[in-house]
Amino acid sequence: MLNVNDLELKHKRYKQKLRMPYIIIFTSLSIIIISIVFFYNNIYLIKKSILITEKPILVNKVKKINKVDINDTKKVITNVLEHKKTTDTSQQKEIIIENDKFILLPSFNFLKKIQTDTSLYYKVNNNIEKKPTIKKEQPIIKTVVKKPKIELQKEVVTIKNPEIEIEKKTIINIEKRDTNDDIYHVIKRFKVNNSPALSLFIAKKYYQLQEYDKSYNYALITNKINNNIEASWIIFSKSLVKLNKKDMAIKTLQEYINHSHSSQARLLLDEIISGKFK
Amino acid sequence: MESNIYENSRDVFLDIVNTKDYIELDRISIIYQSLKDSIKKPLKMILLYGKPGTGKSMFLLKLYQNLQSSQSIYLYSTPILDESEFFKTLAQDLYGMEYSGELNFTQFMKVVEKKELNGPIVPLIMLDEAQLYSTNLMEKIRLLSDTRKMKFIIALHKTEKEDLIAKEHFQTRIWESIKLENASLAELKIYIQKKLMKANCLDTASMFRVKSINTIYKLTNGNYRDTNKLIYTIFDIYLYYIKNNPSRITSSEISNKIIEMSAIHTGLIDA
Repeated sequence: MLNVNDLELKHKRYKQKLRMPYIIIFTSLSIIIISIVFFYNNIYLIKKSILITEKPILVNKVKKINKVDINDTKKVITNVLEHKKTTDTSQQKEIIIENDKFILLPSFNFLKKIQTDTSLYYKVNNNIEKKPTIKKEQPIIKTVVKKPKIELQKEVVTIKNPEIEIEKKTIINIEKRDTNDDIYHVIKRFKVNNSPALSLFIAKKYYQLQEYDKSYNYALITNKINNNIEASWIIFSKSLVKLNKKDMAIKTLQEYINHSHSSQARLLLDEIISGKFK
Repeated sequence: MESNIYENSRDVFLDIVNTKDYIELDRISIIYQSLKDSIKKPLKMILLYGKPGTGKSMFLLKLYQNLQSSQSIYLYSTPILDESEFFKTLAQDLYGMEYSGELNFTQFMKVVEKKELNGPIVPLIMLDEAQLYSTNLMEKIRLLSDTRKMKFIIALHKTEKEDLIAKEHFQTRIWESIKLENASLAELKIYIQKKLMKANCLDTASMFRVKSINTIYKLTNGNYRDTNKLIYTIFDIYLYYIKNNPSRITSSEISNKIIEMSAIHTGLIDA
C-alpha cells in the first residue's frame, strides 16, 4: 500500500543524508581555515609584543627628557649613559631646544678628532672655539651619541619641546651659511662612506672659506681615493699656491698634465707661471 | 480525466510477461534472430542466461509464440522440480502418454528410445528458471539431449549453476550461449517511450525528458523489471497527488522528487 506522506518524510531524510557529507566537509574545511588564520595571527601578535618589550626604557627616557628641568634631564642622560655603557665622551653632542626648532652642533672634541685622523702636511690651528648658538635660556640637554653603527638609537633620543603636541611635525630650518657647521655634517658622512665626491666637496668648501691648509688636506685625501678627478687636482694645486708653495704646485700640475693631458690643468699652470693666479 | 491518463500509464508497467507488451529493441532483435537461426541447426542445448529482469522469460515467450505454428515447441515457464512429474509431463506433451503412477528416468528413456521422430524437426523444449532444477535432473536433461530426439533451451540466472554447465561434459553439448543484459541509457529511453506510446499514452510519454531518464537509469541500471516497478510506482504517486494535492505536481515533466520517492518505495534507494 502506498503511503505518500510517509514517503515524503523518508525522502526528506534521504536528502539530508545526501547533503551530510558535503556539510561535514565544508564544516571541517572552515574549522581548519579558521584555525590556521588564528594560529598565524597569534604568532604575529607574539612577535609584535616581543618587539615592543625591547623599547620601553628608551621611550620612558624620551618622556623624561621632555621636562624643562635641567637637573632631571641630566639624570636621565646619565641613566641613558649607563644603559648604553658608553664612555666615549668625544662623541657627545649638545642639543639645544628652541621653541620651534633645534640645531645640532658637534662638540670641539669631535673636531679635534677629525683633524688628528687626517694626514696633515701643515699644522692646523685648533684654537677655534665653537660657541653654541643659544638664543634663549633653554635647558641644554646632552645625549650620548654612539659610533655610526648604533646610529639608529640616536634617533630615538631626539627631544621635542613639551609644549609641542606629538602630532605636530618639528620644523627644521636649514640655513645655508659659509660656516664650518655645514661642513661638519659632510665630514661626518664622508667618514662613513669614504666617498671621493664628499671629500672633494669638503676641499672646495674649505677653499672657499680660505682655509687652504684644510682644502689641501681634503684634496690630497680625494686624490688618494681616486687620482683621476681633475677638480681635485685643481683644488690641490690652487691650495698649494695659496700656501706659498708655488713651485710644488707647478710640479704637481706638470705631472698631472703629462698623465692626463687635462686642458683645465694646463690653463691653471699657465696662470700660475704667468703670475695671474696668486 | 487526468487521473485516467496516469492510471493507464501506470498499468502499462505492470510486471507481467505478456508478448503484447514486448518492445523490440535493436540489440535484442539481433539476438532473437540469431537464436531463431540456431534452432534450425542440429543442436542439443542452447543456454540463455542473464541477471533477473533482463527479459529472459519474455524472450522465451516471444520465441514460443513465433515458432509454435511451425514446429513442436514446449515452454515450461515454471520449473517442474519433481523428477517423476517432470518426466510424466514430458511424456504427455511429447508423446501423448499419460502415466498415473511414478515415472522414473530409466522408464522414460526407454519410451524415448522406442519412439521415432515425427518428421525432420526435433521437438524443442524450453526450460525457464532452470537454476531451480537440481543437479541430478540437469544431468538427466543432458542425457536426454544426447538421444537427439529432443533439444533444450535452458534459461537461467547467472548463478553457481553456470559452474555445472561449464563442466566439460555439459560444455560440449551447449551449442550456443546467449547472454541477455540490462538496457543501455538510450535503449531504456526507447523502451519507456515505446511502451507508453503503444498504449496511446502520448502525454505521459513526453513527460520523460533526458533528466528523468538519466535519474531512472542511475537507479535501475537499465534493468527492465526494476524500471517497470519504478515507473509503476511513479504513476501511482502521481495518481495520489492528482486526487489529494494537485498543486504539488506538474504535467510538463516527471518530477525528480517523485522518482526518488518511488525508488525509496521500491527499495532502489535505501533511505
